[in-house]
Amino acid sequence: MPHPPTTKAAGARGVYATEAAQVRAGSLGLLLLLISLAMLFGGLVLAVLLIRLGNTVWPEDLPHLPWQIWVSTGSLLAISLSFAGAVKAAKQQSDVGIRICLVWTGVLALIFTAMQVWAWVNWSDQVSQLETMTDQHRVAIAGFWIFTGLHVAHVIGGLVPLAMLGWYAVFRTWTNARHGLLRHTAIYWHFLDAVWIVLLLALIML
Amino acid sequence: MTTMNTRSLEQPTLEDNYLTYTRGIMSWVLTLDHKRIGVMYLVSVLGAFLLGGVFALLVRTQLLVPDGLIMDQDQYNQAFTLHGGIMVFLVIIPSIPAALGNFVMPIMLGAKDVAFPRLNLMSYYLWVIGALCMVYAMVGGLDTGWTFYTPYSIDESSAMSGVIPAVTGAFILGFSSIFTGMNFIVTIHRLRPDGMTWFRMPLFLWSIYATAVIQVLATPVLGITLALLAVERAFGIGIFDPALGGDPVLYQHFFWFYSHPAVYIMVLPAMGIVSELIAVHSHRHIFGYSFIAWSSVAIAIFSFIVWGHHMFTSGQSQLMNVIFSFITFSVAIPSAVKVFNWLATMYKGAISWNTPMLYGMGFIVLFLIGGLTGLYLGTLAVDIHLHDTYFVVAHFHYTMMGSALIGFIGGLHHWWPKITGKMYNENAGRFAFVLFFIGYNMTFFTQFMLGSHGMPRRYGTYPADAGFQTYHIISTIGAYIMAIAFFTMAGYFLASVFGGRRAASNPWGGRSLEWQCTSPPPHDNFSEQPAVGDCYDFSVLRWDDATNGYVWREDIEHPGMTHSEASGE
Repeated sequence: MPHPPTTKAAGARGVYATEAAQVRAGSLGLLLLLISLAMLFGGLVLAVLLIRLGNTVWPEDLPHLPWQIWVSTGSLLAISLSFAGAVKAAKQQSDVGIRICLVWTGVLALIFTAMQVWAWVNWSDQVSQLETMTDQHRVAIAGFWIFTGLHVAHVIGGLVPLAMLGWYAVFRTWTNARHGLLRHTAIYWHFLDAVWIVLLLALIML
Repeated sequence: MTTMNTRSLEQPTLEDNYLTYTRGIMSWVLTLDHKRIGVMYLVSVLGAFLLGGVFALLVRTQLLVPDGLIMDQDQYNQAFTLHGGIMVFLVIIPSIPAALGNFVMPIMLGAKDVAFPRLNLMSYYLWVIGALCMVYAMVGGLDTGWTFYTPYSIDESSAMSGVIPAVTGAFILGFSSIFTGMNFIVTIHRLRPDGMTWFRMPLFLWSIYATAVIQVLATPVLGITLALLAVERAFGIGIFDPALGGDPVLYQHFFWFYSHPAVYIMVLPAMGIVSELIAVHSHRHIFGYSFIAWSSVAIAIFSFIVWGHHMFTSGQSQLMNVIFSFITFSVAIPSAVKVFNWLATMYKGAISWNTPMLYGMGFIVLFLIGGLTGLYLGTLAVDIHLHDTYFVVAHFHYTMMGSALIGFIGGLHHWWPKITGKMYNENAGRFAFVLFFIGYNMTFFTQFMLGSHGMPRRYGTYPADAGFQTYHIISTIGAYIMAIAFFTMAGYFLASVFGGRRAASNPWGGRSLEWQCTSPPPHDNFSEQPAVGDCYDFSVLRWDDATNGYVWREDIEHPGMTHSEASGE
């Protein structure tokens, strides 16, 4: 059943003439946020890689990345696909499709988070040896923590709107007013996906 | 659609404005109104300014005598660090964009509020949390200088436990700044009303826009740098610590990649204010509007590619030094474009010697000195000689205080009637400016001499026979004169709030939209959407004795209004 369009003034203090105008403003705001975050992650990767490249000799006995990382990478890629499905379902006005995709996205997000935590537990064995490590070992071991820690902080930021969307989809009637939030959340998770790939490549290079 | 609605031309009333629309402390604490958030920023920033000013006076008092008057070396290091940290991160960076920008920008644009009012309030509280972290750093002690340079900031033997709270504070303040910048960019893109094209925007908005771009792009790099610094200090990873294989110069590169653009986060909005002050108080159309607008954008772009000039003595390659030196010179071009256009605006203008205009003209003089000495320091050979001397301190203060802060103070005087609905005592304002200008130049011009004679910065003592003391005494007396000027300003501003004459809607004769609503503005800024004209065409206004302000001339047809409506009859 088609969702009724809304045309009243929108946004806090009614600054927008229409909800469509509010969504357009939100899209621009999100773009700026992502550019800003790209600078943040770019700075981090650059700093660590410059240290890496500054060392002509790099140890070969560094521990392998925990296997959980590959599972969480797969679940993050799947999250992007399920979000794309949810956005497509919203365009087709399919409430059932939205619900299924968002619930599936939520499950994948939980798998991703659980795998990251598990990977940290495995990696924490390395921390006790930090004092006795070489400088290069220390940067490589700590790089894993810093990269994944900063990324997971932004994942937590993405879980909040995902939980809101899941709540609306499962327990409330879906309206067109939620489309903007859905699209923006999807874009944010696609961004987290792209950042993760870059971080993973950097971790492999360390 | 009207350019000046009837209500705006009535005598302002204090019954229905943003100050009285709702009452009670919670109506302020949880407000989403950009004007109230701007006022909260203003009060907070001025509080921080008082604190930073106290540390400045402590530093200057210490240097009155060669052996130091009131502090030991450690205390001196902490005093100049806290002075710098508070003034840069808590005062100058947020002063114009967050305080005046928040209040004025949406009204100037013709919008009801900023694009994201809730995010705006969150930015303010992030500022408060960041400020509390910085203040907490005082408890543990902080002696690194405001730049948090490694290896000072990772040296745990100095027992300065304030480093992590301070960098955490700066990190949080950075995100406050990023969110404010995002909000302003979206507001300017998405909330411009019909008729407000890019090239009809007041120049203050152009400068705020250029500043916001820098805030969004550069501040995250500072954020991650400070986060890495905190991690380095806490866990000893080896990114910046040379003892662990890290690179302290890498920290400098990352820090200045943000902090040089940050100089323009501070100066660009001040330049925007000066464009308004010069045009409005000269009652003459701004000269070279598009050149001034584009020069703001050009400065923003250049700001990203000159950071290496802070590091000529760091050991970076000679080729890099030459490149950074060359690019540094090019910043002078858009800066000079602005100065020449301001001068051309004043030429044959009907200048009103109001207090804001004095600050506008003072800005030009001080910025000229700050800018030209910047070219000295951008010259490789000269910089090697002057690096880390008081010459740098003087140049820095001429650009940061003489330009950025004086722009803020000028803007505060300009928009004070709009913010409070009250006029301050003009003679007191002029007196305080003269006092400030004399004190300022006594304080900082002498520091050029100190620097060129070899007095290093960040030293709490100096040799008695080096010939530095006379300059230090003059400089310290100047600082106290400035303090008197600031307390004078606080006095007449407070007096105006409690007993000042009511301000007209348009006391100075401005054409931009903020002068078309009442003083203070209504809760929603405009009762109906105003039409936009040439915001620098002052020929349509005349002085009106009855209202003590400017009104639309009767002999000129007002778009959308009859003559009787326009003249308020």
